Amino acid sequence: MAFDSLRGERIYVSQNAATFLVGDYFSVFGNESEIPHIYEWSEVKSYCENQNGITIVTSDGENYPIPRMAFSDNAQFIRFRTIAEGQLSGAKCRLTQRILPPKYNYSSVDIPEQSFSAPCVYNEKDINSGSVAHIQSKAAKYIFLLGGIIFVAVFLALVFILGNLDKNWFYYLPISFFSGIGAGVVIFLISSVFARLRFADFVKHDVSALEETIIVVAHAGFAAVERCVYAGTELIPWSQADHYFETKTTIVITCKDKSVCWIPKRIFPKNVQNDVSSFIASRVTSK
Amino acid sequence: MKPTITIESLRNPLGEFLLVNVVNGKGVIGICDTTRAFNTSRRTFYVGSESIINVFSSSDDDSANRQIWQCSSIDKCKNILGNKLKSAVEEFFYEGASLAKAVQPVLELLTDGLYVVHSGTAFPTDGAGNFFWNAYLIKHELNGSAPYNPAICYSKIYEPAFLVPTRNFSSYSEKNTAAAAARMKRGRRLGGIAYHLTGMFSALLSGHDNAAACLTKGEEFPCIIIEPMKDVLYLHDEITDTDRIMALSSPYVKLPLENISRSMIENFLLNRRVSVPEFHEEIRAKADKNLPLKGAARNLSAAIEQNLEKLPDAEMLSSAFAITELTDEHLELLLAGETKINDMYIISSNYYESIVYACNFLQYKDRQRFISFTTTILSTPSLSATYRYVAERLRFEMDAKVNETFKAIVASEDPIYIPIKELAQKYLVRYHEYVETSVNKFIGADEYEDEEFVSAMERAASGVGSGVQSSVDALVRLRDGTPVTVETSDGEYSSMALKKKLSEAPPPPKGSGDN
Repeated sequence: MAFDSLRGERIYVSQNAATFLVGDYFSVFGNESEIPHIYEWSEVKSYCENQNGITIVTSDGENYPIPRMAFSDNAQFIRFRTIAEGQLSGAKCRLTQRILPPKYNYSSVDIPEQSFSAPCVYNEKDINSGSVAHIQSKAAKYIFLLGGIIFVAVFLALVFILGNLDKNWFYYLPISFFSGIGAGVVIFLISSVFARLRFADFVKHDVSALEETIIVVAHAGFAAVERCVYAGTELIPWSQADHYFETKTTIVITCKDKSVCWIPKRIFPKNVQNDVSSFIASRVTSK
Repeated sequence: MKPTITIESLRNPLGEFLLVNVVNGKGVIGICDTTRAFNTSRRTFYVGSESIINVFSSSDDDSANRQIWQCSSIDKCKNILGNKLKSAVEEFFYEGASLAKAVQPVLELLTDGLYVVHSGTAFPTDGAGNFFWNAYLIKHELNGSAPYNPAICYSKIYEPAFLVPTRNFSSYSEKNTAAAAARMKRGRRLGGIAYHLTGMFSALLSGHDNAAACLTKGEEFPCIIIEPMKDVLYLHDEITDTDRIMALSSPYVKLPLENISRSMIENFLLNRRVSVPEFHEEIRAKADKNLPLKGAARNLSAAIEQNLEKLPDAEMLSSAFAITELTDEHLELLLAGETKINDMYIISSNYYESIVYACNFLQYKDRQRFISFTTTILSTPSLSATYRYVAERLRFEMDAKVNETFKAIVASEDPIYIPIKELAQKYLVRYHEYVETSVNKFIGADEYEDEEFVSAMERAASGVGSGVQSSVDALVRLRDGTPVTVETSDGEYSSMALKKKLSEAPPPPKGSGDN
């Protein structure tokens, strides 16, 4: 459980004249005379967020859609989903692409004063740099494998089409080799182009992309949380981190649930940047 | 913004209570989260920027007992609280104001949310027989502090009657206690005000000296208890034929949703279990500190030590709230090894659990039946598995029947009594001392403040009898036949001599033995 200290949120949905409240419980009020439905979070079967809004399905089979337009502003939407995700497990959540790690990863804990902490508003450069490195780290072995397959395939194709392996192998081999490398480079370049579009994708899909965020790197864990919900007591434990990689501008920590925490180096003073990098390196394995 | 307090007066089987809705409260008094490590939970009761009491749990298990300890004193918050707490107590207990009127200024100091306020009897102990004021100096686990009590279950109501002090023990003084006792003697009703923390424990905000005075005099300590309503209750919904959340819950109250206004329910749902006070960081830092023990190592008065034994412990109290009724027929069936009556469980499906709960219930509700039930258990070999527990519960009951039972156990050669023989021997020594002390105190008549004893002495002096004989008669009436000591020829007192005298004494007249 995390984000327990955030005050609850109340959302009125005019389409079905229902009021939704999130806090220690998830509750739905119909008309005045009806007894409200109050659910413990353990009774929520699934929580789904998409472009249109949020849909919560409870264990009694009720389906509660909350359209995006019912929220007064981005901050209210962020507070609502933070409270809900803070009470749910990752297995119950189906979320859109997020710039920040989902809140179910967090635990309430003390953050000591000697932690690294700074506010940040992400820019394209931070995300693109990290994103390319992320793609590289994720796709490198597949690109290498694909290059190898193309090398073998081109070699076999040359043998079948042109024949005379005994005489021409000296030509076939470099052609196949460079074909494999070429294919790998092309795939890498295409994926890099897609990686560079990632920030635009975040801005389009995630309300948090342009929000001010607080980044924390501490002994017990790390965090990247919107300022409007930051209480100074939530961290993702290091045990949840899978690996990290570092570029010239960004450190990227990937979590076990495949979500990513982007830490732009520029938010820390120059003399601290190396300390942050080595601190993270001491906690998570590099890739 | 000005605090808005809405109060509704309601009633349940335990008595009247107020349902209070606080909006825009000042947030000076509340409970906040000060957790320091993953997978643990530390909640801190704070006043202003002071951390007063910590409640720690190393698991999410609601049925696990909590560790409770004091970390500061409410005396440091006088500038914030002013005289509001003391005034609330005096207005309600002495000036006869309504509960709503008396507590209104205190309610404005709370954090937003739904509260239940009621008045009842509180026990100035830690639920294990220790005086409350110096029982929480060191972090330790307390029986009955779990939010969920398996004996009481979710649906039953109970009073969180054990007190946790908010003042430093160094401010305890017998002089203040005596002054409070003197006020009580003059007819002033003493009391306190407390805030529910967890399980059966509440933080006493004001009335520490009053609690000590009541305990010294062996009187009940009435207390206003403010309970934040933070839980819900599942009930069967006949429309959907399922169990769902249908009521809000606090220890003292289980309130169906249909009886609560929508604004109150919304206020309950929007405010979380823990609040974020203005000085959260400061409170968190102060919660790490322990209350200084300097000047705290003092002895309690003998009267407090003696009267503490008469107060119920956590097990007794939970059994008392868990069991509605226990007739002689029920007890007979339990002694016969049965757990059911008319296809309904008497207490529990587990036989030994039933015996344990029955003992605790009777010890709290009906001492004589408790002694009779437990001494029967101790003479039933098939229940030897419960001997240790039963003997532990009996050891503070100073009673002739218990004395005889333990005497028989000490004398017995039966191996089933081996585990409790040592305990029985200790009891016999203690009982002998008790008898000696009681009679010496009575016959010596040094300085008695116990009105029953004083009036008995007066009756004895006014011609009911004379000398030792009249003392014996008075004591017989008072103690219902408990053996005592009489003066021997060399000026010492002997219980044997008194027993002899008692056996020769005529039976007390009917109706004069009420104490």
